[in-house]
Amino acid sequence: VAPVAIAAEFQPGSTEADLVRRAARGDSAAFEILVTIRADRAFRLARSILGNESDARDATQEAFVAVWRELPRLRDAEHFDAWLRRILVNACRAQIRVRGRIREIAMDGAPDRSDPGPGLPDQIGDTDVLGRAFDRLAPDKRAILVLHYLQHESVATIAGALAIPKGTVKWRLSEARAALERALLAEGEDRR
Amino acid sequence: MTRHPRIELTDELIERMLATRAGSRAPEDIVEAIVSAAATTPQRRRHLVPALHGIARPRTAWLMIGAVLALLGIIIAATAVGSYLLRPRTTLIPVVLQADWRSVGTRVVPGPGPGGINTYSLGILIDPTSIDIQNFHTDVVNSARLVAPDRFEIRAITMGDFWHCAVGDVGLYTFSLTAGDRQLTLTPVSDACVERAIVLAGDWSRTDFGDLQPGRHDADLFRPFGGTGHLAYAVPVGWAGLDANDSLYALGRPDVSGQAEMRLLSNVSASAASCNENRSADGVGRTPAAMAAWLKAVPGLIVSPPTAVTIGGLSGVAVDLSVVPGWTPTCGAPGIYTFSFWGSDNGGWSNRLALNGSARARYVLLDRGDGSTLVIAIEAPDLATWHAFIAEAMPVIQSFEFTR
Repeated sequence: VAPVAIAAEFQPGSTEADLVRRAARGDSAAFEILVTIRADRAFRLARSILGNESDARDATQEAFVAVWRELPRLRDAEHFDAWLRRILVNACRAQIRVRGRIREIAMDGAPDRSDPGPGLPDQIGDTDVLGRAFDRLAPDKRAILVLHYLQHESVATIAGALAIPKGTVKWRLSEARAALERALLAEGEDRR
Repeated sequence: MTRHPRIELTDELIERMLATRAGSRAPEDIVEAIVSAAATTPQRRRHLVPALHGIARPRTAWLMIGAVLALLGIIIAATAVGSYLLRPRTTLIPVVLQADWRSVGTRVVPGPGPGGINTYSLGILIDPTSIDIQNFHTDVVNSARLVAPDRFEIRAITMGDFWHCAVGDVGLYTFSLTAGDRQLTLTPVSDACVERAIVLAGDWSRTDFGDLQPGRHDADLFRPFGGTGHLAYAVPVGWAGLDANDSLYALGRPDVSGQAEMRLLSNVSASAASCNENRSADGVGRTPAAMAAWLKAVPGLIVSPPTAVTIGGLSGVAVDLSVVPGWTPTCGAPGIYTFSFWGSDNGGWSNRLALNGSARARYVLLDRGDGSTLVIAIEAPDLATWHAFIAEAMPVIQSFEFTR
């Protein structure tokens, strides 16, 4: 979608909630603007959870189409983003579960970069190893780490996206981080 | 927790890894693909009435409305009868089971240890529709459904690296609760996955992870005196259990104080000044006085004079810690390492306390009576959080009751 089209449709004074309401009434142009505004952020969320572009693309597309289909049932346009986030996280969960073995996702089509080589800084090797450890985690653990560490979402937002009580976000985050630490150790042992 | 031998897991490293995974932009054609897919997808509407707006002749309209209503009536009646006859029993795992459980004793788990096995204390997280076995290497996630009042069926969704089972393997288990619902016993009826049956079979103790009801609690898993003893405590509204095992117990106020928390640690020593290896500093005693004196000499730390305290019948000292402004820690982001801590058996896992530039901490060092120290570490990432949290934390600490 060209920026010109966005400018034409997203008039000054109209809010994103207006766009949501228009899209809910079947206005595909309004929906296109909503998608354009959010595509990068949604895709990055999916890609960081899933670890590869192909799955992230499928999950993002699936989520936005589900959003379009269900939009007329969204009661409060102001909650659109929380709703989208929840649908997207669910789409990522589904992608992982369709794949069955979590471990395979990171390996699919990705070159083995376990040895960063003498010319690469240590940190690049560290993120690679940590990325593979991250791929060992269950979907919900990946999602909560991404929402917290990448997107810096609030406790309330994370609770909304994962459909969990606010009071449990902190300890689930703590669990996820502990699981990542265990997985990191396992990566080290696998490479010996 | 034991760390990767070379990599220190820090917030900054997690952020960098996730940012690398995420990339910067969505594929250029993704918006077009989504809009095209949506164009062939009908929206689900809440109301039928707007569909009749275009009908011009009132009599026809009323006839059509009548016909639609009659049809709706028939559909609703048929659905109600069908739903009643075919109504599914609830398949959700009962609320009383939905918790984070820790194994009573250890479990033998397939792994890289001698003979292809390892022995660990394990956790399982039971949700309404899943059971997540928090395996040492890779979580084994299972969908779960209740099939009888005392039994559930599970199906593997993901599998551990060293397990010899397959995704989709089904198991059937009975369960029973004792000790006021704080102890869970699982008994395999059948399971296609032998390793899972070995892990799940037996007793599990309920953790206090998650929101705590205001009032008195028992820390069932924590052993304050080196594998023995008991802790009881009281909390007001808003507190949550964050972590628990035999030598660590963590509490916090998730919604108020963010990353601040307090940890009770029963197997602690002064940490050696090594960035990559977690080991005890040589020649430092383990009594509260010796550990407080050692802290005072750690480069980069500002340590308050020790204050005598008595908590739950144990005497000791408390010190407040911060980092010298502008100090550059040798080990980077984790900051200055202070104490090392381990599981009660000194094996399996370990971790270290540390302070970085903005962090504040109070260490309450209590005499265990056997020449070693029970540490209560109250930690906050910055001064504002510290002030908010310490005021809430000290009354909880004053409620601690230790029994041997």
